[in-house]
Amino acid sequence: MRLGTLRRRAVKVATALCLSAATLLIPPVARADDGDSAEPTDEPARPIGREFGASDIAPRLSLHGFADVTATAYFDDVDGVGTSSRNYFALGELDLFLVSHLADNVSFLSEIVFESDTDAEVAVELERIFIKYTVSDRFWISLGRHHTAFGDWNETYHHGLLLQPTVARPEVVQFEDHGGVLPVHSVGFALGGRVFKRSWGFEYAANIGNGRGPTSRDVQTGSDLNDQKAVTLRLTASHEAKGRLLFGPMVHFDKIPPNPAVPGREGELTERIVGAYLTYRDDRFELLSEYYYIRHEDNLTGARYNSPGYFLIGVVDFGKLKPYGGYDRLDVDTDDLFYGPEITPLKRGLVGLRWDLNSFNALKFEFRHDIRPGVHSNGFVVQTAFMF
Amino acid sequence: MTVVTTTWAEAPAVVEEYAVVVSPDVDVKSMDLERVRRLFLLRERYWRPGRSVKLIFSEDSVEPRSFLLERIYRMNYSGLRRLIVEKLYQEEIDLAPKVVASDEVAVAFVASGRGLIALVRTTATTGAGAKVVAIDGVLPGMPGYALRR
Repeated sequence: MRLGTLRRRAVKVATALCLSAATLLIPPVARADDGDSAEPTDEPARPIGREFGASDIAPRLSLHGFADVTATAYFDDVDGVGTSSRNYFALGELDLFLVSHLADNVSFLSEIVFESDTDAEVAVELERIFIKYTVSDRFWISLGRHHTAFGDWNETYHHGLLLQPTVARPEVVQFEDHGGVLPVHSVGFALGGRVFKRSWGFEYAANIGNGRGPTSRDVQTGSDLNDQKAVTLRLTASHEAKGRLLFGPMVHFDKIPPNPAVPGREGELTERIVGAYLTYRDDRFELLSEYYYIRHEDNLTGARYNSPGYFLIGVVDFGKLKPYGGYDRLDVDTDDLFYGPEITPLKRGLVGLRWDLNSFNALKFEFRHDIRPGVHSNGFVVQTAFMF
Repeated sequence: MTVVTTTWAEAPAVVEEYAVVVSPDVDVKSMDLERVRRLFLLRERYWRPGRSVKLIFSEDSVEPRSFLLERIYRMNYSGLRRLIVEKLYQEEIDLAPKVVASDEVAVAFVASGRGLIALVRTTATTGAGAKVVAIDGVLPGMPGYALRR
């Protein structure tokens, strides 16, 4: 849910404040002697030191950002109408992500996203913010706003497009405010843990939170319209050999409040989601696959709406060049009034090439063939994604 | 420790040997190679409840084609940087590992700190106070030791 839309002026102030905080930036792999002079010296390098008071008066903070710019050209063939084209440039999300070390087993993370819309206004959205208490590898718990424990994509790539292989998230794991069908954000608490047995690992993760609001865009951040909490559970088994294989099931339950503003949505919905995922990564190949089956049952009328979706993406790693391809499908039930008319079924085949210019900037070239009801489209997309 | 092996049919081959060293408070005497990789890849983060694993890198260990990058991480330095960023972003860690000037400094830090672990040349461990961990029950210098090339 959007926390509010600010005018540009307010955004400039907020951005300036965040950039000021960048003086606290800690590099990804911190050199212990970074504080030493750049001038050559005969003195031996001093071991790890610290700025006086830095860890005494305030916790250590790491700030990073992600951003992207995308150029898109789409050619549509509309049944019975003819062909048309769309081409445009789009600013992506400016994602400021902060991690703070409060104590050996307590940490804080926030992810604040600035996103411009078609009206040239900028929205600020608090995508993730939580405090995490870690007892051991076997148990951690955190409170705040999280990415829900669905599969691998939602908790691996988050909002920084640099880290994900493709230009966009697969349709079934899109964010709620980008037309997504899953409750990918959860406000409440999350917990999890893992154990290892030689080359095997077993992991659990769960979310208990407010659940969804009356529409699929709503993430109930400050209150909950009903007392029933949404519950998500994911189990993962992993195996290490030449590469790393992860797979497992997940389930999600929620009660979705009525939406009196939409005729036919006077009843509460029971939401059940089951899914499974399989991910494989080695130094040459990556396979990402997830399947979800979403069922909504209207507790007033008894009507049921089923919306399955899945994706399968393969990436080959040639160092800086990473060709990829995949299939992405969402069969959303268009009679399900919870989703609204803007969410439509999609079948998408895609091929692309990711070119890592360096560790912090990647160019992605992608071709897509989309089939939506009544429309066949071919799309060419070029994106530069980077972190700072 | 540098071991020189000779057979009648071959020229002498210089073998680089590496040791996993941990702080004195870490109650580990031996670990398998899978666990070494899990610890350095930041998948296993705690020695025991309340005591987190802290990695120390030496400058040598993150040089191109270093043993640590080639055999343990199986990636280059850029890949390691990306891994650290991803782990921060995924809230798997909240601090990046430290890098110190040399293997000897790394050993000194590990010896004087708590919960620390480093991979260093075996020669750097001589006379230092850090604990050398056996790999699959085999200590450096013994036949069958795994961390050699």
